[in-house]
Amino acid sequence: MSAVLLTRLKITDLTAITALEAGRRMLPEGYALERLVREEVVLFEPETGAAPAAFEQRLHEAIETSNFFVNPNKERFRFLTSRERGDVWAPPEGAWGILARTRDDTRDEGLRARLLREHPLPGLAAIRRARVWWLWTRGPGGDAAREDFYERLGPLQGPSKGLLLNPHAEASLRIFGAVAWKDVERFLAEPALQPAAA
Amino acid sequence: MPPTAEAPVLPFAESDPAALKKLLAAEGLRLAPGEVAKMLELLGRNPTRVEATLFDTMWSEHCSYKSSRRVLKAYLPTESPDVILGPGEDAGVVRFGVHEGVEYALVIGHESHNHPSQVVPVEGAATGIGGIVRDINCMGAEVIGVLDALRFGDPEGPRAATVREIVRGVVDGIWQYGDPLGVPNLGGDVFFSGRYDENCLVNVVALGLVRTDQVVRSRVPEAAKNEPYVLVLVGKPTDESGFGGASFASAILDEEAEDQRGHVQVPDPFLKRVLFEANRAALAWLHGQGAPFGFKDLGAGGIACVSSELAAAGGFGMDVDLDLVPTPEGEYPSEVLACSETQERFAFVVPERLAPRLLQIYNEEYALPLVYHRARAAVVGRVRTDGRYRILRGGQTVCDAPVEVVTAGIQHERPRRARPAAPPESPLPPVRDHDALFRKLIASPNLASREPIVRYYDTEVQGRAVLRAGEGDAGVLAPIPGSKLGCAITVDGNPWYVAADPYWGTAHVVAESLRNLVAVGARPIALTDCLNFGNPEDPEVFDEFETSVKGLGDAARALGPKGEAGPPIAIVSGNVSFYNESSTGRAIEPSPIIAALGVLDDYSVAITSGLKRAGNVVVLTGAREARLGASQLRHALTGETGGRLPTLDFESERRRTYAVLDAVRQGLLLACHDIAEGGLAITAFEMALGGFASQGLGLQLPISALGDTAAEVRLYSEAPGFLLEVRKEALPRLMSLFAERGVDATITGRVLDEPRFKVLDGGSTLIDIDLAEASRLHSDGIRPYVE
Amino acid sequence: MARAAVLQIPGVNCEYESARALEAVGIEARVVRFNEPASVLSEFDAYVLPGGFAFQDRIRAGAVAAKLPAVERIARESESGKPVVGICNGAQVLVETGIVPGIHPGRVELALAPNRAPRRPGYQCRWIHVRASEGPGRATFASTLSLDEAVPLPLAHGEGRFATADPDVRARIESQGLVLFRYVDAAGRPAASYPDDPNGAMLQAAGITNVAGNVLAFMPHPERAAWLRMMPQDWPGAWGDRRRAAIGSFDALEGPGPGRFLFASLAKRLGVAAPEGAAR
Repeated sequence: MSAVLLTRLKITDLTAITALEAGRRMLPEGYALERLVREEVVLFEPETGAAPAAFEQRLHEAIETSNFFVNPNKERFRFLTSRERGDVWAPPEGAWGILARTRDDTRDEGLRARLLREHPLPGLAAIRRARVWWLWTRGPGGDAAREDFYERLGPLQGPSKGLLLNPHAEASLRIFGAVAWKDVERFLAEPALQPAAA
Repeated sequence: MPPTAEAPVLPFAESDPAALKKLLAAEGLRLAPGEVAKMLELLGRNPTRVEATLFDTMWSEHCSYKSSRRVLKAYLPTESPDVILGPGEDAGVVRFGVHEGVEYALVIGHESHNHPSQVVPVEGAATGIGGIVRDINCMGAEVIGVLDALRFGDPEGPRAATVREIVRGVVDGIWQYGDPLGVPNLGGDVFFSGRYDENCLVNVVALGLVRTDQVVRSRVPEAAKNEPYVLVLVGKPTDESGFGGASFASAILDEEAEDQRGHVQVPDPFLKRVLFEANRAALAWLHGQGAPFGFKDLGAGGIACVSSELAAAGGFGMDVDLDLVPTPEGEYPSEVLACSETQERFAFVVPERLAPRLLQIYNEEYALPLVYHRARAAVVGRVRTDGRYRILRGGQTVCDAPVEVVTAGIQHERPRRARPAAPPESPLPPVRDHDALFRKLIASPNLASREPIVRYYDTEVQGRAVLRAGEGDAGVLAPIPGSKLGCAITVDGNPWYVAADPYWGTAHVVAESLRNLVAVGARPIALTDCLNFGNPEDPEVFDEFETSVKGLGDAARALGPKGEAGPPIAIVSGNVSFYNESSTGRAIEPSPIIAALGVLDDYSVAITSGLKRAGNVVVLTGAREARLGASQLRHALTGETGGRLPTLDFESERRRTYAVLDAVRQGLLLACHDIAEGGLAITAFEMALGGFASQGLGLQLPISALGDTAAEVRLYSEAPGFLLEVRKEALPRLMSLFAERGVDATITGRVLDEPRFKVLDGGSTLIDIDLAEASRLHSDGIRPYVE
Repeated sequence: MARAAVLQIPGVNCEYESARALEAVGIEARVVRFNEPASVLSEFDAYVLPGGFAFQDRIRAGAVAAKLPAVERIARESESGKPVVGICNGAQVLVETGIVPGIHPGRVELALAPNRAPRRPGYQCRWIHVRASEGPGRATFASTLSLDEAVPLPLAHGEGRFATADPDVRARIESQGLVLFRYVDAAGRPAASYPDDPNGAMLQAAGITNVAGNVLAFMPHPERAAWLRMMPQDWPGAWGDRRRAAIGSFDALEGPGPGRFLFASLAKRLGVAAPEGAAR
């Protein structure tokens, strides 16, 4: 049961604008990419058997008062305790999502060490990072076209196919409807995504 | 422009002192009540909100130099035969040399971005770099390097966790801005001291190259009398980011730092890089047109400041129409549009007939609107020949005054009082284990290797590098392809020295910066200063400031190649940063930071500080004086940072400095390193280690010939001097050169063909360490604070 | 006379030194803006995608640039055998187009993933050594270089780790000799650990070519080492010795540095007679 931090830029997100424009150029007639939002996802994973509530309140304060996670100059955030987040993660109204993670270990050990130096958070086992792209699309066949959009704008396969992640460095999870948080946790904790290394 | 109505005004004149205070607070203005009275007197009426905001910005300490101007004028030499433009423009311009018949100049600027970096380290430091490179570019120059002088709190002290986050954030800000910009990092320095715990310093220096005949002034040209000129605004769309930034930079930091985070600007190096390329094309085209023009960057005070200053500098007025200013989506109040410090913007004043083509270069060829949402070039104003300065918005006149009223400036006379004398130095405990002391010192924050920081900086981009940060005592560039001309630059400061003795401490900093230049074979031609002090309203702080500036001026005059008899090393640009203290009233150490710029007629003579070949001898010049005040040794042994500084005799320092310069130029030396923090032992160790790479050599350093003082005096006295690596065959020539100049020289060591560092005193071995092991200790010293 | 285009995509920052390095070996170089008509590009004999941060590395390094019409045009020109080299960010762009390695044409088969390094990973700027291998790219990019030589070069990147999720691609890259340059230690032995191996790339790859050998994605910066002057003075080994011997000699310092080989090889491939003293 992890706590979740979701951050977005409140200044113009140039990456999202660029992705929106690039994505639109890649779509055929009849396919519309109406909106695109980028959100950074941080999962705070408790130690096995530890109650997340033990650190969540302090963590919330640390997020609000430090520069570790959020720069209020540029970003807005939502922090959801393990209780607040509920069992499922639902996309924003009308959207579907692509959750992307590195094929390396998703844990940010350096950040955890730095955070703990200033804020004792007993029971915090790991901080994991990922990125979610929320897409508002309209295509032939209504929601059924989402598969098709995913093929065209998701993992990069060729020069005119795929955009938002490179599957040789990243892995992705489709969020077409509400997804169980435990599936998200499992996806991010999966260690076996290393490409064959030297 | 359409006829305009008058905007509503702020009722200052009708307010009693209590109401005035309330009104100022409600409007977010930092003007003092006396300053409000002066503003009312100048305007002859109540100001509009835009006018009040404009005065608030222009009269901030950051923009107005209201406390410092008299002192700077009184003591600092700003002219010499090397100077083309001294202080007054955005950056100083000095002569460089001639290549293939074209005369070139170097442009140098120096700024601080202290308070923002304490609050939001990444953006704060990045914006510091972003601001100083604009200052260089707007003189018409290509930016060819940046340096940064950083002062952080005690990373092992009571606020260690915060200090380390700031270290990390500032370093991230510098590389994340500088690397995409494509400007190499030429060096810098880092100093840790507990008095920076709540107020770090981020000083930045930038260097530019320009054809002398293409230096662009920041003013409306005379020709605007004869044809219509317009104001063209270029770059990022204007938003509320950085609104109130200049006043913020002059405010005392308080504990509620997060409340100030919204004032910090949002820098964008990518857009800056595109703008630099577009500026290059635009300037080349404008130079080709032959019509005079003006160019200036937007910094503190935004559009209002840049337009009024461009106008006033040329003796003109201006109408600025805020309705024409590109913005992101949304509505912005007039005072925000007029005064916001939104980053990545420039302004031109050009003949109206040239504006369409100028806009085309930015908006079509360099595709600003495509590469950055809503960025573009736009005509936003028109030059007036009658000296009237107006800002218009939606049919209203939101600012209307003679331009000289807007730019009149303000001065304050600050009282001084000497600080009470410090208690006498406590005696140093005897050193029983030199080897252990040495291991401790080479890993201590102020003497440890800077490599963990430097490897985040791009030292190679532009392909002009000759010596990089850490290779030699100064960074050296060959800026003009195919030319022998080289330039060298260094930035230095020692806060403990200045705290112990503001006059001589500052003079020592100047001397060290010049030693760093000659060590690489460069002739010093100019200095810049960034003067970081506490609250100038505190008489003791102001006395320190004035005394320090006097020491700076005297050293700059005395240490020119001919001393007092000849021209000084002129101070061509600089910045004053006051209010560097926390709400608990704890001021930083007085921190003048000096950059020194030098020229090499032939860059090929430049040498590093790394030892070159086994069997060569090492020569010391500069006696090891038994004064250890403010030294790294004293701090390590006692935790104290005060005391009596080593003597700085201007005349002998000058002779030694220029003798070393000639020795490098004549090719008598293979390595050269100046002696500063950590004294002879650390200087020798760094030479043995090699600053940038290691050839596997070592050094044996017998110190018995260096007098009969305690070994720790000989090893760690920070008295000025140099260590020189000399081929045996060149030794007689070096000795006779030094003898002619009346400069001392003592053979002090020998280069070994194994990686060991050994210090011998008579029959005993004081230090004996394997350099691979020492290198690990040295480079891991500050690593935990950065990673 | 051979002509090379150095493509200026917004955010690149090595276009001028790359052009100078080409000019030094007698190749006429022009910096071509990304939005000039794509047909202009067809007039050139070779292409350089220089280093920097094209489109701010938005989405990820190279992602946006790879879809530009100018880059598509260069990809098409490469099919006729014209040489293309992508340096650093340029390499990231080439990988994102799929033309390197191009084992299955039309497919993206590699990524340049974030560096893997001990302690704090991320961006770094340092000098390392590479060594060339036999392979289809040697004739174009390393013909003047001995296969024994450990060549010192600077690199500066945060995402330089060649990676593929496809074991078959990896096997073919290795068996077909597409890893033209590998990270090695100062003695030329395969880089075993950081910092000799700066980023954890598969097969210690510093540079990978396409199957035909005329397109190279190269992470180090040879243009920043194309003159002896650029060589660090205290570097160990033969290049360091040359640099030290050149103290006081402007002419020697203006001579070729360790990175010159790439441009000299390219000139040879294009049939350009290099100016005297320029080659190595």
